[in-house]
Amino acid sequence: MSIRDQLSGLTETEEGRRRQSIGALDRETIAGYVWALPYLAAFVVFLLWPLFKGLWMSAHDWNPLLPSESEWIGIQNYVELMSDPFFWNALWNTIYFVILTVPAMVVLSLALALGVNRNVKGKTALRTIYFSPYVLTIAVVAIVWLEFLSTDFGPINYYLDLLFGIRIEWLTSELFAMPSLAITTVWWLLGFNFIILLAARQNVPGRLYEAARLDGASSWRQFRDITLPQMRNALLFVVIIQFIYQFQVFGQPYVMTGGGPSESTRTIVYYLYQSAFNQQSYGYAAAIGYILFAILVGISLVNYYVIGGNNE
Amino acid sequence: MASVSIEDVTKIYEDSDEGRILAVDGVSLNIEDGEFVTIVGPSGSGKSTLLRMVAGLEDITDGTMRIGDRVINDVQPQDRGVAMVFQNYALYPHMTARKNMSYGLKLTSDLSDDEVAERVQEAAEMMGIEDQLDKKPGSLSGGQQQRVATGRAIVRDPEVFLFDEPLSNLDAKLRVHMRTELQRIQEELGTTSIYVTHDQEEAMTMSDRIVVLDAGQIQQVGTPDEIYNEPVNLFVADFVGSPSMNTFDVKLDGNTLVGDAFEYTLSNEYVERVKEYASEGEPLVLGIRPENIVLTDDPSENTIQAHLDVREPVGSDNYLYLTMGDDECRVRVPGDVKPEEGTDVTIRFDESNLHLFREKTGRNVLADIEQASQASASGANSVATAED
Repeated sequence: MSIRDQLSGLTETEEGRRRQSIGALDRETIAGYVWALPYLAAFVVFLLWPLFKGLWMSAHDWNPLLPSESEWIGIQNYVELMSDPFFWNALWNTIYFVILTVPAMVVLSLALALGVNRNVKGKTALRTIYFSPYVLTIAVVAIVWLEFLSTDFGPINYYLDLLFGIRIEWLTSELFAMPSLAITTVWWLLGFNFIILLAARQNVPGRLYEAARLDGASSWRQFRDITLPQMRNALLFVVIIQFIYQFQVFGQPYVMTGGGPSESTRTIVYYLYQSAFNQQSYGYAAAIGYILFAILVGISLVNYYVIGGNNE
Repeated sequence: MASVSIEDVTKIYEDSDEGRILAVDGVSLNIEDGEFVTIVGPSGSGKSTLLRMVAGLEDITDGTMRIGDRVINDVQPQDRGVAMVFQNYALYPHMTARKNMSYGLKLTSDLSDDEVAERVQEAAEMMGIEDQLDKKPGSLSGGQQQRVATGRAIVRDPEVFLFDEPLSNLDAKLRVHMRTELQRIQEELGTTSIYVTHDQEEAMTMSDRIVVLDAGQIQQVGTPDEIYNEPVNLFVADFVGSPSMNTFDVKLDGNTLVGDAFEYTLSNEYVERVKEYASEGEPLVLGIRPENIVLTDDPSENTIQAHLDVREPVGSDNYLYLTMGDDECRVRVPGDVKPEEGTDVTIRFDESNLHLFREKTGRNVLADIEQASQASASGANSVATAED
């Protein structure tokens, strides 16, 4: 074989190898799409499609029986919402609920996580106990707390009566109804935040605290200068998730108060539900959904830039 | 700057699974002002625990620690006048190098911001990291992180530097470089330093004195030369030196050390000295370092026949692995001495290089003599160990 032949042979195999590697890359890409396909399909059918369908509905006086007969009304639903006192009341109720639940939940779960992270006895048992309410559905949680908070038969009022001679109308007075829902919610969801924050705390290397002790940092400075910055991403995650989650509160008022007394616990999603399924105003309900969506995007952005500021 | 005195210090961990663990067992040690002392020992020997007790990161179960004249047993870490460089640097990941270095100063001193900035700048220049001060640890190389960690200790202007295996995360070349750099800085500042390492080469090259620790007890305290040439027991002899010392079981029969595979005749003077402390027929261990054995072409008295199994070239030297009957023997010869593998060779070593240990206690027979003759002449430099 001449040198030239050998060279061309070499080039051919090189070429072949390159072609093969392109083929391999293609196969890998295709395999990637195939694996992602089931989720993508669900995403399109259950998220992307309803997202556009909702926007479309919100611009119509929607006729659920004959959708094609629905009348295009543009932003009329949104204009109407702006002057709907029930909507504003529901929005305010929701914000009130968020203010009652989110800060309490974050602070309490952080305190529990930091407490359990110290070498307390029965750490595993405590972890399980704090987390366990989270596995229950809202229906179960609501029924349990309905019993607890019952004005005439609940154990809380029983002991209040015994000790102080008072009975509080937890779920039937405008003053206490929303705080009662908030307490129920904090109890229900605390464990989820607790587990995330505990994991984040356990990921902070112990050496940093030793270095800080030698640097003369007090417990408070260690918390402020090491624990908090090191847990920032987890805290950000918990805060955003809870804002999104609590803004969509529905099950608690639906099961426990029916939105009452006198609409004092009717939240946005509850109002959306009533608009759609009680009053058959699907277009109007879709518009409420879109406003909620806009609020949540706004809040997430603010959280991200406030807590997540100068993120590396 | 200050001396450090450790008196009969003990550390016991209470572990719910394993019960009481004796990590440090009655250690006494005096470190002079400005001295560089290295603590070496295998993992679990208690060397880090001892250092962490000086730092105040571990409680002292029993005994007394002093820095200067001050008892520090119950003094908070930040008030002890110590600064520590950790093995993984323990830099604060979310702070810049500058903030890492100034953090402790701001918390513990009443210096103005300008003075703090000046001190940080000085330390950074000393460590050659002026350009890295505004970077966070994550964007620094391992070597740069090491320098920031050392700089953080320098800034504090402590009475005592504590180093906990500070170079073990660096690659070999950088490690050697940083070794000389740390020495230079210590000499420049003259700060008393306690340096923990498992790397005997670091210990030998950097220290004024070395403390060899095993199972929580001091085996020997001495200059690198003393540790290497006059190991007080088999543990120290085996731990220091690479490859480690050869040891052979022998018995003294008249003037001759009788081993399984060889006999070695001692001079009259040597035997007289040995016989003062070891009786005839007592089981002894003969130790000889690989670099003290030479190959010879002249089989005569005190030469030993051996079989060369493996020759391992390591650049400047060759390591020879020999067998003599059931005994194995390592020899270090210059790189140009290249006997054939699989051949028989003759080896020889000098009486002045051999070490004799009691088999029962592992104690160096001649170290016992020296210790006895010195009686309690000096405190700090004498050998200290568990009693036989």
